[in-house]
Amino acid sequence: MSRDVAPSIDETTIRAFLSGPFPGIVAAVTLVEGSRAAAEDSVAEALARAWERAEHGEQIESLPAWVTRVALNLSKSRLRRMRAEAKARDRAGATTYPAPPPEDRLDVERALATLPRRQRQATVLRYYLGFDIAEIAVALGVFEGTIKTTLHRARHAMAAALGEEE
Amino acid sequence: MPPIDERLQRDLDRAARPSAPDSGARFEDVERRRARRTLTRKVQTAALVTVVLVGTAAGFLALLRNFSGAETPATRATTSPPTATATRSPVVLQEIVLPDDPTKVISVDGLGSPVCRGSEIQGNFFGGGTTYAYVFTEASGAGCPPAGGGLQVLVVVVPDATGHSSSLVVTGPLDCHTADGVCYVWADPDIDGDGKNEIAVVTTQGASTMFFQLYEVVTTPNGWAVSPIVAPDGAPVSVAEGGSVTHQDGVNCSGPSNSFIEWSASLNADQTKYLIHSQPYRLDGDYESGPGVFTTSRVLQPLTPSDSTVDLNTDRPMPADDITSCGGSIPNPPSP
Repeated sequence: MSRDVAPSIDETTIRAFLSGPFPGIVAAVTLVEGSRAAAEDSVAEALARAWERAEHGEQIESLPAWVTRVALNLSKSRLRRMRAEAKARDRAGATTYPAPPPEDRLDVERALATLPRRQRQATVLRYYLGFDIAEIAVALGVFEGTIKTTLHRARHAMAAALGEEE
Repeated sequence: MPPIDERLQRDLDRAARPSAPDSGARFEDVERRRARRTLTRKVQTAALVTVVLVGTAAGFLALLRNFSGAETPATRATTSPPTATATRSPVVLQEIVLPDDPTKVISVDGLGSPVCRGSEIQGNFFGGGTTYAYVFTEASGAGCPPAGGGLQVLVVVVPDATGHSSSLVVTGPLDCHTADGVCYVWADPDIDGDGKNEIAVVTTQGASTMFFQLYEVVTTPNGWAVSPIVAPDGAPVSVAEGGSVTHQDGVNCSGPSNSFIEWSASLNADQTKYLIHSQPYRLDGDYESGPGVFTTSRVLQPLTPSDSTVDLNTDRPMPADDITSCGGSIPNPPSP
């Protein structure tokens, strides 16, 4: 890593990313986590981290893949924090906010919501963002064999839920 | 293409509803976040450089005193007699005495500002004997800020450059989301089994679940430093612990080769069994430094996860939730 080279990410790159892959990645994280506002926040934060790291000399080979991975991790942390805060609110007797009515969602969203998180992530990366097995493994930080198993289980569960043949 | 694959592609495309293209405001938002991160990094670097410079200066003065022929004065630091050779006597490090009143502001040699709201833990954090780690809130001329106000930092007492007296290493600011906004040192596990304790700092706490981050004292070309253990994405790891009847999170070191296991259990819809996802990790990598900037922390690398179930009608036990199975103890349990 050299600190003398020009940053691989600059204002032009960020603007191009915002008008290019950004909406798709936000949509993907929304499918996984269920909250568009949280997804937009996570993807924006991930993009800012990529920019800041590039300024310090870190080379990021694929900005969309890097941002997707970090945004999914940030969403997970955020969800955990929200869960903890919700429990704290429950304990304090504060108002809680119900989830949106499930009838507003498509069948595929409802089916997706029943999958474990890892299966949801892999399904969305594979079928919505079009990642291949290796890219999903890198994005989720696990072995390719694990992704194959995860996708197999997810496909099986989704097919059963949607009444489709595998 | 199998029907289910076609259906998933088509329906997910319909369900995704991409957001509107960039309006300019989004760029400003990203730029603001980038600036905030840059500032945080500068603060961390400045704190580190300050500690290294202070440690170096103290070491130089100590060497000057020891080798100039002057008599060695008795100091308040409980050090071993200095020697000019590599034979090292065990060093006894100076503990920072915390006042009974957490809002009382104290000055600590080696810290740039007075501090308050300290929490303390002991452990073998640098690998050479017992030392002390603290989370402090930085105070100002106006006194101790309200709980959750002010920057919070992790401070560890380490040997100075001579190896015979105390110095401090600092990292922060910590991102604290506990009920009162104050982070605290919680436990001193040794998750990689190298004989050196890590420092678990509670940064988020709800009614029944809390999240802790892991830090460790590392040797760098410029001396000791305290560094967060990070996830593969470079962010400090945040581990959940606790929960309720419907969802529980826990950690233990009962896996093979001292792997660190984070598990999560959810009660199924008919409340007959827990669905358990276990994610083992291995503490990987090494600490590297750039030109004056430490860029890499050790990575908690995920290994192959596993899923299992525990039927409530059988006696199969839940996974252990016990960070002390990784070594160390829990001197500062969370408040009930």
